[in-house]
Amino acid sequence: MQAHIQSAYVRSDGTPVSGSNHRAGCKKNPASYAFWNNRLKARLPPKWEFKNEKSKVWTEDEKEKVLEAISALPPLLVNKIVSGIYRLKTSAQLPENPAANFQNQIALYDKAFESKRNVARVLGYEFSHIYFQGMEKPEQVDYAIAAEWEATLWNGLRDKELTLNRKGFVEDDSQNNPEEDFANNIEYFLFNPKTLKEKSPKVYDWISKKFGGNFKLRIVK
Amino acid sequence: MKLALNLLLILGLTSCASFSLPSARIVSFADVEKLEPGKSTKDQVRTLFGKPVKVSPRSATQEAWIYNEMLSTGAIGQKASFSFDGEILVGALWMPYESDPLESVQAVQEHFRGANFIRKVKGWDNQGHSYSEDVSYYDPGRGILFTTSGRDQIVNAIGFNLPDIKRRVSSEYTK
Repeated sequence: MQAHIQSAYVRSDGTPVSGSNHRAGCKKNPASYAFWNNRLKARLPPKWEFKNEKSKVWTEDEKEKVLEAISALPPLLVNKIVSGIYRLKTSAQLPENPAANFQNQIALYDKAFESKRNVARVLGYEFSHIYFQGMEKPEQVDYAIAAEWEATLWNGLRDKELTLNRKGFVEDDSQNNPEEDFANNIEYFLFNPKTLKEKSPKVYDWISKKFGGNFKLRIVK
Repeated sequence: MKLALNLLLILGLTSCASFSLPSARIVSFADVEKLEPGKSTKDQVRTLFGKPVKVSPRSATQEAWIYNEMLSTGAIGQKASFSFDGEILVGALWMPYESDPLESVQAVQEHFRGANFIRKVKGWDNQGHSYSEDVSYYDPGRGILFTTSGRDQIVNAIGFNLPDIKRRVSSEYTK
């Protein structure tokens, strides 16, 4: 591991961790470091539609944060189909966006590295979107049933209308579509499990059953 | 008092459980195709498929009737929905499951030979955060729709609503 400054952060269980200055070579990097290090790109992703967005050069500190974050996420979620993690400045669509995903690529904006953000949480959410997109139809159907989605078609519409029938949800935009709902729920399962269990117990149970007992954040040593 | 409480409990349990029940009758695609948005009525849908497992109101005059099916996994999935404005059917949606021939894009296109489908990828959400590869195919001339989701591009719904031309005529008529 290279020398780097570890910023102060708050663990998902609410424990504050103070900042520190790590010396180079203090421990061996996990195997995933090399794999993901090769996927950190400092240019716009291929076929990126928002041409007015700008790429940035990664700082060593940002790289360490991302690689540590990936190590902390459950391996089942960290899909190696992701071909690149791109460092961009600001989202042109919504400047508050910390990240975006597009055809198995993830873009991380400046907002992802603000002190109030947890990079593992931001990345976990993006990987969840990509996971959902790769799910086969029976799995998606199974999720839609557990999460209580309903589809209808109305006069004048050129696509089906999807409605969330579940009363409890963790974020307002969970009502947008099953994929957004899934990504929010995986994020909360990992980082705020109590809230998910309270608001959407059936979804909590579905995630527990599907991913098993090892589907949790790992402690990065 | 006790009787009233029991009654409330029974009603409550029935309404909670209703959505997770399979429909009494099979909702076949052939039967769904017999319906005609803009003309068919609630009575016709009830005659073909029985009572819905759920009624979802959308507005003062609009509601959707939901029909379910038990899958081989034991889960109860939505099989169809019929949308009504007043007594008149305005949209029907049917879901192919578990290797149904109509899960293939090619098979659906062959089934509706002569249809002119406009293909539309859902694309970016309105916040520029996530890009969806879900696709909808819609023939405005015949009011036929089908959709696929995710990378595998398997058909997840086929539907019918009022063709554009009929909708224009009908809205002019109501003016």
